[in-house]
Amino acid sequence: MIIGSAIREGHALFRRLTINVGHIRLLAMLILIAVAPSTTRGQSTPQLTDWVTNTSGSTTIQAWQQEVGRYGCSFSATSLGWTPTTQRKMFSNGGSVVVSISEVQRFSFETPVDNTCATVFYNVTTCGGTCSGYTQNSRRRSLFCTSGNLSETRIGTEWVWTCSGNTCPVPPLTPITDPAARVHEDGRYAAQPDLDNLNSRTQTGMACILQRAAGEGIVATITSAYRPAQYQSHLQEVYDKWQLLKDNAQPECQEVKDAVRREFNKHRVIRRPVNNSQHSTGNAVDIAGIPGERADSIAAACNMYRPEPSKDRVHFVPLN
Amino acid sequence: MTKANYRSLIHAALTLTAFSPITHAQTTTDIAITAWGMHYGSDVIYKYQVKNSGSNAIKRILVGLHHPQNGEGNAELTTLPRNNGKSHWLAPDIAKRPEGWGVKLFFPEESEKFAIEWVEGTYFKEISPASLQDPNAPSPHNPPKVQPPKTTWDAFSVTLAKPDFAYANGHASIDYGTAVLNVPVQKGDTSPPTLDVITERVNTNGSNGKWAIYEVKASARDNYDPSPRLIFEPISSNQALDSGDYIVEARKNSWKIWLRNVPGRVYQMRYVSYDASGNTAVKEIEYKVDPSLKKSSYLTVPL
Repeated sequence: MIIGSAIREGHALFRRLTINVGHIRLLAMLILIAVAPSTTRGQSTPQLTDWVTNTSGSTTIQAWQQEVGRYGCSFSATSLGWTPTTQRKMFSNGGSVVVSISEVQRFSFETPVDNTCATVFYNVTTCGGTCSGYTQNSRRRSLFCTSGNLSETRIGTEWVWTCSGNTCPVPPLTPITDPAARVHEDGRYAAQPDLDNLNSRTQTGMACILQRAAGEGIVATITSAYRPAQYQSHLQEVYDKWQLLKDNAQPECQEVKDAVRREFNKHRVIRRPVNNSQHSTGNAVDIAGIPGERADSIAAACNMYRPEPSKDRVHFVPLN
Repeated sequence: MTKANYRSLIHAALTLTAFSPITHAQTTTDIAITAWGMHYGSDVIYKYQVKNSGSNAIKRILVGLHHPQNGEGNAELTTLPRNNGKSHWLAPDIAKRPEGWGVKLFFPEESEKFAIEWVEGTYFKEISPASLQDPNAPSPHNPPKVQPPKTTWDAFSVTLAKPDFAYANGHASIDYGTAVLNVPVQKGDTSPPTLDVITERVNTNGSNGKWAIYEVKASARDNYDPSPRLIFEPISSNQALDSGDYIVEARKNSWKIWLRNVPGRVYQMRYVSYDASGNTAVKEIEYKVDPSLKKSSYLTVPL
């Protein structure tokens, strides 16, 4: 509907244009962009906002008519139609391009035939005879993109605007809504793993392992404990989306890419977090520093074991 | 203009509309991180110098993390600093840090290895707002005590109980402006220790000829490390060795070595010295059993 409106408006403008070959070209290009099939992937047609009209000209005319009317006189004003003015480019919203299209509506005035009224008219408007364009309304509207960014290309002496792309195929990161995950995301456990939310068997086993390791002169360190499921999913999502975006140069993806990059760098996710982690149920703890040849016997003495001693050497869970 | 002409014009316009991606002129050449290792009593200390030649500030440094921007990486450190187990935030006497910075262990998920993370207080608050509840966390500063462009800082070090060469020759992941750089750690000390080994035969084959006895004096010195370590590796041979085929008496600053004479046997003795940066010097000494020995002199050795 918006596109159709833009096309109709474009055709109307095209019919009215008589003043500037450059404007004809510009509007022709806009029309062509509007009607051309979208054959280039990632490109789309800019939409037009509604007109914003400044009616200062009409207000002025009304004021003049009131003033002239005080002397029992009147005059008429006739619209000469809307004509384009220069295109103005404005930069806003952090540098994104907003293109403003402006037009003016000029009027012509007929001086009253009566001499007295002609004098009054002249005194009020300082306009004699048939004058036109003495005052005017103006209106302005802008191009915008429903997706992607508005970009411009110069063709000869004229500019052509297009939307540079569609919505990025990689959606933004899912917001973290779980308060427990939020606490992790905010770094509450950046310095110390979350031991509070381990289940009691894991807590007991972990304490036992640390004590036995210390008894053997082994310095053991807890490197990870409870991780809320949504936090785990967040880490995985960050990793996955960074793999998708790290080499992506699509303009429409840059905002998402920047956000994912920030998270990737914040967490330094260097391997893909697993899907269903026992850390998310409080049933696992990662303990580094225990030599492999001692880890299993110490764990067994503490009713714990390592499910994957070769792939994940630090991962301990309670025996069932 | 025909419809086809219009379309080709449109396509030309659309092609020309392609954005140029914004690139940041941030390269690893902007940052150099150099490490020196030294034995100090029973400790090993790694000192770091961070040189920022670029135009952005440094806010975070993780030593021992190979973290390429566009690829998977790994943590590299295995030897924990001395005060591990008390707090992930390392005590000032264990890990030196610039004013306004904190230093802690960084364990990537599921990783046994780790990195040492120095982080500026305000930046730490930015990336981990809630963790400031930890009383040991670095305090935010205003203005932040970042490492500004065109500066060199030396206020980084960490103390271990034993050497871990990855501290000196691994990688660093550095938050630099809005980018993260993966920077190889350069060794400041690249010279191997000087290893002197003096071997003296202290017996002859005269009396019974069953053993060749050597006295070995070895010493090592280094241009940076005041106490490079010296190791006498287990003796090897071109033949299988029994436990009684050689005896090593460790003495103060020397070894007395007994080698059983066996026909055709060649003993290899290997001395290795290394400094805390991982530079090594090796000296090998070979003893060939004298073939002129009488058979009776080695009859006790199973052939």
